[in-house]
Amino acid sequence: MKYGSQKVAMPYFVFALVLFTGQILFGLLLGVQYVLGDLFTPWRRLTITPTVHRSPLPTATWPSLAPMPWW
Amino acid sequence: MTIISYAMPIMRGRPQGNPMAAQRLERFAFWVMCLSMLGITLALTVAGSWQVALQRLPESGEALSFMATQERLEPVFWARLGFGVVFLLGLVAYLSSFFVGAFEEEGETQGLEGAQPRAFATRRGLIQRIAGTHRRFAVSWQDDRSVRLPTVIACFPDPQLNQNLYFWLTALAAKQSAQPPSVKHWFAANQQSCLALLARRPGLRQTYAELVAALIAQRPTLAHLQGAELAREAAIQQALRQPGSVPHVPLAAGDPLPVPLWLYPAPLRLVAAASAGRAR
Repeated sequence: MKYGSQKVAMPYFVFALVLFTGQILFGLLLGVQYVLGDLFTPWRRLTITPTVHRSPLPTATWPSLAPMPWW
Repeated sequence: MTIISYAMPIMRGRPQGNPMAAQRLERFAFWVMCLSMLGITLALTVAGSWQVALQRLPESGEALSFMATQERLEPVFWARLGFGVVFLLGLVAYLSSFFVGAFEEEGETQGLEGAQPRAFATRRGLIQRIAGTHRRFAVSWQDDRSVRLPTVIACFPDPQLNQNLYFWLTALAAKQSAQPPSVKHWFAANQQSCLALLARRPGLRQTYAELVAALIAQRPTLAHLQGAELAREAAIQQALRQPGSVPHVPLAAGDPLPVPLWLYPAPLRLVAAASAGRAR
């Protein structure tokens, strides 16, 4: 590192990896919902899972979504 | 993720990158993720083509409805889910590679790696300027992690000499301490370790003499130099012929032509990074 201030990238990288992990997990959930559509019948929201999979950032940063079941 | 792979070890105080075990795991994770992503894409391609074949191509009446088609496509969706699970495994491997080797760096034996070329401000002739050569040289150096030798040595016309140069450099690296010599004492330190190595291993003397003779034959001729550069080149050649006989290298403009028989200090970029890491 040429400058110590370059360390500011660290939390950004960590959060990016967390978001990416969330993206993969929701992608897997979506894949399961495609083949076992009845698995999460009472809670499933087939409209929400793809949205979270495509862009986890708003979900992770928007606290008003917190009470919603993220299925 | 490429940038993270590059920058994360540096930010976590490993200016020369992650240990080998971590890099192996990271490469494995890279290929697992790439190939499973490819698998997901191909599975969806198959599903799409199949869907058209079932739902659109047949004459009306024989064509399946949307939901019936989706049911027929179920095996492909299972395959896609399988690739997704494999992707998750790759991601777990990638994330865990950041922690591999974090606790076992102490006492690790030195490895062997290729040295990257680095820039030298040598005096270049007209033809060399036109050709753009002689700006970067891969010189040998070492640190705690590994001995860095040039990936290719084609200094001499005789292949045997080039091979002997590898042997010589390896022996010299083993003789010197793993800490690279400082820029200030590098000239004397190389002569001292050459002297010590030749005293300890007399069998290397003939090899060394052959290497020095071949090297001096292709270094700048003293008769073509003048002033400070003449003094510096003469000191280097004298130090090669009789190691330990020249205490200081005279100052002159630019860098002298690199000496492939010696070990160089660590690249300055890495030195700066390491000292920044210590300062924290």
